[in-house]
Amino acid sequence: MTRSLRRLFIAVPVLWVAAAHVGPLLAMARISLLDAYPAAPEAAAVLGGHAYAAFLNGPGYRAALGQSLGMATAATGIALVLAWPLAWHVAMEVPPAQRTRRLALLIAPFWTSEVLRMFALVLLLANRGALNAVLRWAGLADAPVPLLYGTGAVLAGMVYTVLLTMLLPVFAALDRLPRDLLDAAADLGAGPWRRQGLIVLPLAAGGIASGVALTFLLCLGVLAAPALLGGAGTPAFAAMVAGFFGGASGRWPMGAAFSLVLLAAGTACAAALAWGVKAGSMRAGSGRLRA
Amino acid sequence: MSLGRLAAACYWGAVLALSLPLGLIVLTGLTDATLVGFPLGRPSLRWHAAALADPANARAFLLSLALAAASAGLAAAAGTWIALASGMLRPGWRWLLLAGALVPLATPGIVHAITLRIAIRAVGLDPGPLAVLLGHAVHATPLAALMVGARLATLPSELVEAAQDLGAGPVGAFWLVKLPWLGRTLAGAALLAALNSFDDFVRSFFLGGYEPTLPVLIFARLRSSLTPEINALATLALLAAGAIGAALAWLLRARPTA
Repeated sequence: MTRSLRRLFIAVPVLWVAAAHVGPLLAMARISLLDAYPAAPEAAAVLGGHAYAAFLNGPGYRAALGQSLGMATAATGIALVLAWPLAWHVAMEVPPAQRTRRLALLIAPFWTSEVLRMFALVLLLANRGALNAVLRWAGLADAPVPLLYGTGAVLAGMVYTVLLTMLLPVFAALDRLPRDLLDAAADLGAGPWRRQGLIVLPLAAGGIASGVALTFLLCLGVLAAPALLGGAGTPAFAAMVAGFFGGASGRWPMGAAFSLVLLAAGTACAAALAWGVKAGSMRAGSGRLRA
Repeated sequence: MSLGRLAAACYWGAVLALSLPLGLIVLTGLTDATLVGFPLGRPSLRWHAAALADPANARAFLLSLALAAASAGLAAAAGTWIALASGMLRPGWRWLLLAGALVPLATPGIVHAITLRIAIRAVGLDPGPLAVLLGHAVHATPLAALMVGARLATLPSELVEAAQDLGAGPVGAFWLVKLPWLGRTLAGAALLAALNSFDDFVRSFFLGGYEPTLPVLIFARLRSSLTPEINALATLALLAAGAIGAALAWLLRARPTA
């Protein structure tokens, strides 16, 4: 291959990444700075920070973002607590020959669209849903118990949407764990719970941290769960951002600015959470060693 | 209860809790009642017949299948190309290319969908199937690049050198050595991309025109009229996604060697 052909071969994917992966982000950043969109053809685009100023001064925007970050944090925490024993069971207690099959049983529900999973939750939680049918059949409720259209339902939906993203990195981390260390700790008298803190947490810290960061970012971008399971008072910054893109394009700069604020705040929080979880997991090991 | 028993109980509980709600979709569709949910009416395929009779359902299903196939091919090609090119770059540039390639993976779904909506307008492309196709392909490219890159890294360099000693150029080495080595991984990356596309909601929602994909159609029906016809449609989506997923699991099952 001649040098120019080689250059051409490298240039194609570089251009694809620049145009399709990074370019859209830059286009969004540009529009977020425009004062009017589409910019009038005769006038040069007016660059200003009006959309960002609107975010800072607008009614309840910052609070909505804060609530969404809080929801995502809660869903990420729930997902971690749920994923841990599942990953532990498959990685540590299932014989290697059956491991793939047992993991597939957990993964298979996530082959479906998030919309279908949210529909399934509606069928579970609605007034005419399965849980209420069971409650009525058992004589525990005379009238339907409202389980849907609230923050709890959205949280459940969010976890059902993103759990796999937490499960896989945690499983990979536990699967790599050197078993002889656990055996050695057991020989030296550390019980099963103590081994979790002393050995498993510090060694799996990297996997936990990447699972936490990815899951958190994914939670922030979930639209179906709040749209289908949320009520009037459910915080949903994502739905608010989406609203700017319905109808005419005059509100696109606001939507673009809000998206970038969400991305920036989300990335910062994801990094902080991942760092904190990692530091905490590492400290769990050293603290108990000294004790 | 011991830690092991507790973890096993959690595992089986989770398997049930994650799968049973999906079973409710199938179950509450097999009824002659006009309202979704419980109490169930008498068993009937009435709503499945209604779903089959509505051409909008068939159009959405076929559109979703076509988008899945096309975006999978595009994502697998782009991912392979990125992985091959990054192997030819110096470390600094390679890192930059891979970081850029992973951007769609680390962007929250709604933000990613909005960036794409803005980008297609910037290049004068209207919302519609082509825009959705590109959006799905971009979304699936990072995973394809990661899978192919990881598999390529395990290729013994002697194999490529041997092919070159025997007179193969870079193109010949690709077709004769690298592509067969990628084999199942490449097919797996394409199937994963197809599944992501078939299931995708948020990108299709922002980039779609008047022709909805299957998840967008089901979402719209869930927000408006709730009859068990949605269950029949959703059952179809479940079966199709399950078939793609099962093929993927079979393809990427643990290999006996390496």
